[in-house]
Amino acid sequence: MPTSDSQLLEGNKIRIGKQIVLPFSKAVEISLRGVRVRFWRSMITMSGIILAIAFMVSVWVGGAVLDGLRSPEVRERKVISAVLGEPDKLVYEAADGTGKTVELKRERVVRNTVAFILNSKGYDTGAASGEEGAQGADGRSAGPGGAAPAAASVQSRGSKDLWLVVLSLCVAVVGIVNAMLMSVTERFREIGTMKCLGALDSFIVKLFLLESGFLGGIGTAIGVAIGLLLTAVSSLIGFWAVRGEIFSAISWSSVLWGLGITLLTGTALSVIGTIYPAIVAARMEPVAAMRQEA
Amino acid sequence: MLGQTIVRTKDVKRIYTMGNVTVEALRGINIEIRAGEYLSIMGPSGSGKSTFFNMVGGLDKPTEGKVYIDEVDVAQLDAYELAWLRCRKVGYIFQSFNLIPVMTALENVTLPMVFAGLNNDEARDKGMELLKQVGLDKRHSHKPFEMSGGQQQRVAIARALANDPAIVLADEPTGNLDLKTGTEIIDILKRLNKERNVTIISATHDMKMLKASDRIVWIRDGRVDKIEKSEDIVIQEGSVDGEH
Repeated sequence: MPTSDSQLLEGNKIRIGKQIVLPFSKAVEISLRGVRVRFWRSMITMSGIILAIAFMVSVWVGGAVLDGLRSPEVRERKVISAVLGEPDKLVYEAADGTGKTVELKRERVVRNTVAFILNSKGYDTGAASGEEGAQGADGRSAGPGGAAPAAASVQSRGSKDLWLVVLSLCVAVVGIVNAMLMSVTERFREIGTMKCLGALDSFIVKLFLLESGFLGGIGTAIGVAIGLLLTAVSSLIGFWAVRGEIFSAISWSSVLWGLGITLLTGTALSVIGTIYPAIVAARMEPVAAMRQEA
Repeated sequence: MLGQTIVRTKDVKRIYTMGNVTVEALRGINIEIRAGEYLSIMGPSGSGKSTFFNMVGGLDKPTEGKVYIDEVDVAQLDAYELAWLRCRKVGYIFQSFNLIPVMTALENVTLPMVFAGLNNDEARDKGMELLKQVGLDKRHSHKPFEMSGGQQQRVAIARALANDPAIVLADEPTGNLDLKTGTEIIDILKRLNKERNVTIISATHDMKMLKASDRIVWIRDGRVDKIEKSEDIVIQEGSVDGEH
């Protein structure tokens, strides 16, 4: 509206147009270029989210492993228990069919339920675990603790984990806001130049948000990979005795679901953390490009 | 050769307020710049030269008075129209070149075309043509840090001309360059000024610029001190040669 007024008032011959809003694909193209060139620098920015996501994944998948082992179908399975020392060796020797030694050693093989082993390691397995106990040939009887831990303690462990995850994600977001503000200051001349060349504020915002979206996605993927690796290692170490059961015990749909949520969370958080810095960048005056200090 | 008025200022004042202190950077400037002119703005630092220069380029708005670019009052424009003006009417050349570091020479030159809505093929062809005009078509795939200062500034000139602007604003274009490279840049600017009839307005300290300029506006204490014509500049040529 002010255009047509001023144009009528001035009676000029040349029309001033409105700058077009660039198609989204252009913003994607330009931001991808920026991501590619500044990749390693940006990964340092994203290291906070990488670590937080790795933590989130390890909590989630670690929980899934424990839940899987605790589930009614799995916890009653009998596995060779590590109680007597070297069950692996015993089993192996028992299987190779050398007569007398087998007789001798077989007695020392102890089979226990998954629940019993978990209990002996201090994990809660729910009510049914106690009675099953050990079925060892040497008559060892099971029943650590006896009293089945209440579901409430499982609940509290979960909520404490959740609290830690949320806290670490918050720290990561604050880190991103900080790093992105620095990056805006670093790039003020580039932003000013772009505005001199005809970039709209909305384009600058889009550019920053897309960049952080891509970086957040990549960073989260790296975090997921690290988290999975750590969980795999820690689960194998922690549940070595029941390692054969872990893979079948895990609810893979729950894990995949969790990874999906994690990817979304990580990407979304890095975008959210960039909103304020992006607005700061967009508000920058084009004159900033003229400033000499680098 | 000189056409109609392309930039006109009317009693332009610019007052900066910093806390309780007000600084009057411009105290009423009236000037008319005609299309196709090569105009240099000279003045000591702190004279209001940069402020005036930004005003003329639509980068800043006056506190009082009017700036007309192509007979349109800049103060009346909204953000979209200002962006349009910067994109198509005005080309900018900076002292520190200000190429986008993550982009190649060609991508830098085509960026304003992208903002103007040209498709990739058109932009590439036009960009290569412009790079050829500044003699850098062979280096189109180089990044800014792979080029010398003079080359970067030539890319910046090509970029400034991307959308065939009526005005090219050059802020100390030779300020970061050595004598020889600076002279090359001035020659290119002068040539483009003649060939394309584009108005060139430059803020400068560089005496070499005087030779190329049609007019020189001296700014002192926020006012126009004097305006010299190219005829007067010839007298000073001896000192320009003396720099070699």
